[in-house]
Formats: sequence, structure tokens, C-alpha cells
Amino acid sequence: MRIVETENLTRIFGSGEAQVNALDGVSLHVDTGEFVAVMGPSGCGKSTLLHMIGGLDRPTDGLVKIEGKDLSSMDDDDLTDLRRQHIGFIFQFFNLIPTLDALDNTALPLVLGGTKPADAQSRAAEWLEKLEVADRSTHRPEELSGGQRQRVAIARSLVTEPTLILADEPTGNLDSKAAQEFATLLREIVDRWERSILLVTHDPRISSFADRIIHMEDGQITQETNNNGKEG
Amino acid sequence: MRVLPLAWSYIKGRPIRSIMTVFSIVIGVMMMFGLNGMAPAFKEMFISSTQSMALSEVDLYVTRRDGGFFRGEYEDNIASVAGVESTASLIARTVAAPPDHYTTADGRPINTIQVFGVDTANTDETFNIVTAAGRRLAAGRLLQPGDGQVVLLSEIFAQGLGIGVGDTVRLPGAGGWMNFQVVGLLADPGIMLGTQQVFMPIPAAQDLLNIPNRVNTVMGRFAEGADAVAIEAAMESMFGRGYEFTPLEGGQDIWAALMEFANVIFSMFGLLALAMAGMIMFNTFRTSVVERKRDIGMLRAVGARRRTVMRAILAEGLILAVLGTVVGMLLGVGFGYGAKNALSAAFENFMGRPLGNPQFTVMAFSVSIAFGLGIPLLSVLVPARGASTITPLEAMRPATVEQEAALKRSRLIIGFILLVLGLAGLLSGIFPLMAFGSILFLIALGLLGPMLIGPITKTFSRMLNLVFGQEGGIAASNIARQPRRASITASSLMVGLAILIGLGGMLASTYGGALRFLEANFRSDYIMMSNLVVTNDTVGAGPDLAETVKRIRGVKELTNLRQIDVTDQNGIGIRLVGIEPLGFEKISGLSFLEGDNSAYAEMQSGNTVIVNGRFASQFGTQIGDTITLDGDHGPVAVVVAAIGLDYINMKLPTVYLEQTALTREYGVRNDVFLMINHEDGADLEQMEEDLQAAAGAYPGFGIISRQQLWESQKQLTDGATVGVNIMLSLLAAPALIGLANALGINVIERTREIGMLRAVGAKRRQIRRMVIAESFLLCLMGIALGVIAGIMLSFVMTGVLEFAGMRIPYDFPGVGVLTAIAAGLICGILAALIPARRASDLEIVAALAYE
Repeated sequence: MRIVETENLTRIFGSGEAQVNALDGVSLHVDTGEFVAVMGPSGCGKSTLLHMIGGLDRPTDGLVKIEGKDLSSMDDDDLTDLRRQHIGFIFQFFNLIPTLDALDNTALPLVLGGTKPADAQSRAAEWLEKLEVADRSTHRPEELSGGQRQRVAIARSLVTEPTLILADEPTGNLDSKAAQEFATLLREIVDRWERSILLVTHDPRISSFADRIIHMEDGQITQETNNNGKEG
Repeated sequence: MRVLPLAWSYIKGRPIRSIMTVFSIVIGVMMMFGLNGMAPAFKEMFISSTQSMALSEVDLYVTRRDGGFFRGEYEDNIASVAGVESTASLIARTVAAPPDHYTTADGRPINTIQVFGVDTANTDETFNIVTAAGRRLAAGRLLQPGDGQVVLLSEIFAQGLGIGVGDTVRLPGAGGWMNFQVVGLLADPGIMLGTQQVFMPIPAAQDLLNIPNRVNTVMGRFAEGADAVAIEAAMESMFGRGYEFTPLEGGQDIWAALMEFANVIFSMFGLLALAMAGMIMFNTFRTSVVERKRDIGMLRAVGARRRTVMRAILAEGLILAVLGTVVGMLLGVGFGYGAKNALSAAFENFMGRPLGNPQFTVMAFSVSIAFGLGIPLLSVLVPARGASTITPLEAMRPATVEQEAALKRSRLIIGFILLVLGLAGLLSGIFPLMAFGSILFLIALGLLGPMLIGPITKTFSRMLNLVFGQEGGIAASNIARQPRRASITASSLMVGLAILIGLGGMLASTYGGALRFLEANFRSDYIMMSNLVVTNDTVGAGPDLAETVKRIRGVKELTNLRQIDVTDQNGIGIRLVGIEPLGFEKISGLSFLEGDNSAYAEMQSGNTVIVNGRFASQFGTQIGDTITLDGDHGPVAVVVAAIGLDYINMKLPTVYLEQTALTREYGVRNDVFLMINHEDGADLEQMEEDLQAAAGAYPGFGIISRQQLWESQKQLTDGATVGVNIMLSLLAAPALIGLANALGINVIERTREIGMLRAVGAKRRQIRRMVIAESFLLCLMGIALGVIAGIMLSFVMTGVLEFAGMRIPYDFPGVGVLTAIAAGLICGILAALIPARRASDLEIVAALAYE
């Protein structure tokens, strides 16, 4: 099943001489249980692409569909609900709330969606358990290592049982051992829990864990390769 | 509310900032709640001091609304009304006793004496409870028809005086001390602490008080089945306005007016303290929204709707507001009791009664809760709305250039429009528009702040370079680079200083202005008086005293003042001051707000008056208006010739009228002040001695020179100023906190940048100097804006007083401005110390990795 589908996606910033075509007619898809990495140099438009797919920003032209639903017809509240129910985010800077402990940070999307705090916490605890950071659940972000923070951030992105995980340079702040562990974890998420992942990264060691790699340059897709090295 | 735990976690996560913010709310609520709690106690005291005898089953009390005297013949008119079966006249008058003159047997001071003049021929038992005819005797006999200069007093009073039945007692009267023979001692003690009742026949009381043929109460008993409504209607048509037909309440209005004045000032304090709390919350939340931009972006990305984000911020504000209000109210109870204890002794001396305990009524609760929660929540509303517009992209990247530019333009346009409107309002000269204009002006300054930062930084950066060297240059560029944050910091100081200067200016105008008045007003060399605070309780002195003084060698000239406090038909207390216009002009004089000295000559006609500023603003009176006073014989129409002020009566609505008119219409024939000038080259020592001797014959009267009066008043205002300064520093504390807060955030947010500076070779000392230089520059900006805004605010607040009915000329808060500048700079350096240390102590690697 097509989880993500974009058609001729275009995003233009500024106007006149300052105009930047961040995305220039991008069409791609991500299927159920597929792990896709987007790579390319800085400013190639890969993060903008992620924002469009996540409903965080609106395209200048073109179409984004999540599970067949066209995002352009949705208002801000609809997009918010879609993100909460169907999409999990993993950020480069983890973005954990510094005043909440790991358990409450993980439970946050559920609490925001109206789940009873006790239920939310027990589901959050399950995910911390699965991601092997249950023993850190009462610690605040400042008391966690970079790798542990990233695990808590992943637990938070999975706690609503989304079909799609979007990750923006998630290993940018991790050392190479932690980055390697993190990539293994993402692979497990896809294989064990049948989630789809769209990941933006610079790091070829991470992208090597993906099923498919999309290369971008100047807002356009220049190349697609499967993880066995074949061009798609 | 699902956002509460999140809000609470932020509050707990930033304990110091949260406590400081709550503290600022606490101060405002404490004042508001405490003062509101005291109000009923004050009111009760005023009522109880006049109402203590209205307990019996007497059906009707006819009194003037102001407790004043009227002709004794009125009793016959009342007796002739159908349905009134029996009547009795009465004099009931509290007389202030000279300090330390009387004590009870157990040594407690007696400060006032309630003189009762009773109708000894009346045998209706209904009136016994009032007339002492039914009281239990410890010795001697009750009053009886044919009694002359005789008196009944309580056993406890007699013991204190060391006298018994058959002895004489000296009582203070308008003609000086008068002797009465004690015929009986009452077994029950006086009704209240600090006061004693004495009973005497009506003629004796009239003699004592110098009020021939006058009484101030007629009591009545209705026949079985009489129509009370019809009787009251008959009374209404007989007496018209100015009279009351129910239990005695008159005379409290003047006190109520004084209390109202104090209340306006203190309520303003409480309100401003809360306004300050509001500004601090506004700034704290605005900064913390900036600080949490990424958190909020993440919340939006993971599924929080705009309104959820807004609610989370509001919930945080609400929790702080609730905490502040609850703690403020608890402390307010303490504040109320503290005020009670501090004031009680003074009131007991003054009013003859201790002040009651504070009572926290529904009103006190609702006002404190409404303002304590309302102002903080309103202040958080704007930052909360701002937070809700943060896009989820903030979690990933900083805001795009496009958005920031748009925001700047809209701010500029709105700020400019508000500035123009605000200035127009300020220059309009119409008070409500000026007040509104000043608010717009403050908002405009806040909005345009970021745009002013660039030019101001440029202006000061050379100086900064001079003082702080290279670090000064970096500091200036840091500020110029982040104009919005800099303006938030500077504006928190601006608002704090503006409020300090504003309040200081208002109070300087009240106190400083009062002293200047005193100088301009009291031009006579000596004043002979019983007390500066003259009320209807002051018996005054009959005309003999003035005659005696005139004959003293060295006295060149004198003028006398008489007065009575009355109420208009709406129950508003008005003071009537009787002067000899030409003598008064020569020896003392008013400060004219409108009109001039020619008004004195016009007053000679008897139907022209001068009113004071308070009267003019209370009733909207202008020169040439005709006002109506309720005299003994009915309404008296008089024309206003000028609006002026004198020192003593500036806080009360006052009408100055020609003295014989006051005597004719109100029967006032006693002097309360004599203003005296001496001859050139007179033997002052001897003259003062003679004046003192003359005054000594009249209870409580004394002589005071202009210099002594000025000094005593200066002492009083100095005392008040100390109190005010304590309150101002209570207000200043949160301003300091606000500034430290904002500076602290500056450092936290730039942690990585500071790490970079250290990495490329900046020494710890340099970082410290840089942060202090930044704070210094921000303070200069805050001070510059704060002083401008504060002077304006003080001008407007003095105007607010006028709007509330007290017209006071504006006094420039020079000392306040200098103090505020000093306080601002000290605040700036103090506030920067901790953040500067924190910045310089940062470990380079940790700082670079800081998120």
C-alpha cells in the first residue's frame, strides 16, 4: 500500500531575484513497511520535502497524499490530527521537553490527543521498554546520554502507533557508535513493527540500512537506488 | 485539562523564575485584599461612633443628615403631626477632650466626652434609654425638672476624677472650661473604651456648647396604630432635604470622605502593583515563548493543535496567578491585621474607639480574585496567542526571513499609529483622553522598541567602547543583532521604572504639593487652634477668645475661621468654612485654581462663595454656577466666585462663605482657628506667652507659629514618605527580578555562542565584561524610555486623582527621576552579575554542545 505519494511537488521561497526553488517537481512514493532514505548536499531541498510530506509546510504547487488522503484540502486542525494519528517525527535536536521526564515526554502525543494520563503513561512505558530505556523513564533529558535521548524521541514518535515515521537528520548529534545503533533500531522498527520510514540524512552509513535511497540536488530527484545497489 | 501537567512541569522546571513571578502577583493581591478587608472595619467604626444610641424602641429620630443643630421649636412642629403621640428634644454631641486630661480609675485615657442634653421635664419612659432616666444609679439621684448646671456621670469616670456626688466637674466648652455639679453617679460604665457619657439638662448643654435654643435630635413615639409611612411623609414635607427621620448616622460623612481619599491612593497602589505583575508576566511569558520556540514547534509537529498550545501557556499563567492570589490573600490577612494594630492606637486617640478587626467580605474576595487572576491572565494572553502561531517548522529550523520581515512591518505600522493616537490623546487636554493616550503611548513604545534599539545602540556604542573596551563593541553588536530580545529586556525595566516614577510623582505631588501649599497658604505668623483635624466634635471657642487675643500687646491683626460639616441630599460630606473675607485675604488666603482675589470682595455680599478644587471636581462646579446649600431654614442659593485651595481642607469638598452667612444659616458661632499677625518689633516672647495663656482657658486650644506648623507637617509627610518608599521598594523588587530574568535568558540562549567565543580565544573575564556591558546598555535604554514614560504616567496619575475628585497641582518628581535612574543602573548591574558569572563559568565543550 502507498503510504506516501507526491506528484510534481514544488516549493518556492521568496520572489524576484531572491527566489529559491527549494523543491522543483518532485514525485515519489513510500510503501507500507518500506525504509526510504533521502540524501543530498545541503540546500538540495531534502528537508523541505520532509516538511511537505509531514504537513508542516504547504507546497507552492503539486500534491501530497498520506494513505491516499490529499493534504491540500486539509485545514490546520486536520493536518494536526493527521500528524498525531498517522505520523511520527524524529528530530535532529531530539526536541524533548526539558522539564518532563522520559516517560512524560514519550506520553506527550497521547496526552495531547486526549488519552487518559494513566493509559498514556502505561503505553509510553511499553515503548520505552521495547526501546530498552525503561530504566531511564524517570530521568529528565539533561540526565540522559545522546543515544538515550534519541531512543526516548523514537519512543515518542511510535507511541501513537503511526504508519509513517519521518526523521530529519536524526543522527546529526550522535557519535558514530550511537548512530550505528540508531540505524539498526530504525531497521527493526520497519521489520518488526511494519512501519514506513522516510529519513533525511547526510550519513551514508545510515542510509545503507534503508531499502531505497533517493538522491536529490537543486530541488530535484537525480537518482534512486535500492539497498542492493541497483538503480530504481 | 490535559495541558495542566505540562504547564505544571514548566513551572517546576524553572523554580526561581516561577517564584519571582508569583511574588509580583502576591504583592498586588496582598495590598488589595488587606485594604478591602480593612474597609468594613473603618466604616463600622464611623457608624458606631455616631449610632451608639440608636438602639431603643423610639419610633422616630429627627436629625439633620450631618448631625448638625436646628431650632428647638421644631419639636412643637413634630409633635403636631397626626399620629405622633409624644416627643422629646435631645442634644447628643461628642466633644473632643484635651489630650491627657481625663483618665478612668484604672488609668485608661478618655479622649472624647459624649455630652447629652436631656429634657428633664419629659416623663415618657420610651425615651429613658437615651436620656439616662432609666439608668441604674450607684449614688445620688437622676436629673429632675428645675435642674441647672448639674450633671450625671458614670461611677468609673468619677473615680478617675477623684470626685463624688456633690462635687464639681470641669467640662470643656465653647466658652472655655465650665463647672458642673455632680448630682448622681451611673452604675454602668461608659459605652465604649476611650469615651464617657455625661448627662445634663438641655439648657446647660446649650450653654456649654454655645448653641442657644438649639438641639440636634427630636425623638418621637407614635400612637397605637399610627401610619408610620404617612408620618414620615409629613416629616419629609415639613423639613425637606437635609433631614433624616431614622436612627442617627449623621456626621460620618466627612470621615468617610477622608477615608475615601486614603482608599483611592492605596487602591491605586494595589492596582499598580498588579499592573506591574501583569507586565512582568507578559515579559516572562514572551521571553519564555521565544525560549521554548522549538519545544512548541515540536508539540505542534507531534499533534498539538494551535488552541492546545495556547491553553498550555494560559494554564501556566493560571497556575501562577492562582498561587499568587492565594498566597497574596493569606498575606493580605496579615497585612490587614498589621494595619489594624498600627493604626488602632491612633484611631483610639482620635475617634475615642479602637479600630475593629479586618473583615474579609464577599466584596474583598471577589475584587482580589478578579484582579489577582484577571490581570495576569490578560497579560499572558498575547504571548499565548503568539505561541499558538509558532509553526511546527520551528522544531526543525529557525523562522524564515520572510516571516520576520512581515512581522516587523506590521509592528512598525501599528506602533506608529498608536504613537500618533497616544500623542494626540496626551495633548488633547481632556483627562479621559489623556489617560487613554498615555496607555497607547506606552504600548507604542513597547511595539516600536525593537526599531529603536538599532539607533540607540549606535549612539551609545562609542561610550560603551570607552568604558568596556573591545567587549563593549561585541556587546553593542550582540544587542543590535537581536533587537526584539533586547527590547523585551529593556522594556521590562522601562515599565518598572515608569511605574515607580509615576507613583513617586503622584505622591510627590500630594505630599510636596501639600507642603508648598502650606507655605503659600498659611501666611499668618501664628495660628491658634484646638487641632488641625477639626470636625463637628471640635467645640471651638466662642467670640470671647478672639476679643481677648486682640487685646494682647504685640498682636497686629487677626482673622477667625468657623466651620461645620454638612451633607448634601446624596449623603456626600461637605465642609462649610466661614471666613471674614477681607481679613482672611490679608492674613492668610487661598491658592486660586480659577478666579482671583477679587472673589473675597464679592463674598462680602453674603451670597457669593468660593469652593475648593475637591468640591469643583466632585460636583463639576465652575465659576458663575449657582449651588444650593441646605441651611437651617431651607435651601440657600449661592454663586461660585472662584475655585481655590487651602491646606487643611484640600482633601474635602469645601465651600468658603462669609462668616455671618454661616452663622445665620447654620447657627455656627464658634471659632475653630484664629490666624494672628504680630506687629513689627513686638516682644515675641512675651506675646507668645500671653497668647498661650489666652488659649489655655479654652479646652485643647493652643498656639503654634507658622514655622512650628510647617515643621510638624513636614514631619508628618516625611513619616508618610518613608511608608510610601517602603511600598515603592516592594514594587521595585519585582522589576529587578524581571530584568534579571530577561538577562539570564539572554545568556542561556546564547550559550553555544559564548562557547564559540571562548573556543576562539575569549577569556572568562572578557565574557563577563561583555555580559555586563550588554546589561549596562540595555539598562540605559530601559532607563531612557522608563523616565520618559514615568514622567508622563505621573502626570496622568495626578490627573486621575483629580478625576477621583481631588484636584492637586502637578509636582515634577525630580527626586523620583534621579532615584529611578540610580535604581535602574544598580538594578542593571546587580541583575547582570549572576548571568555574567554563569556565562564566564561555562565549560567550552559543554557550551558548544548545548542545545
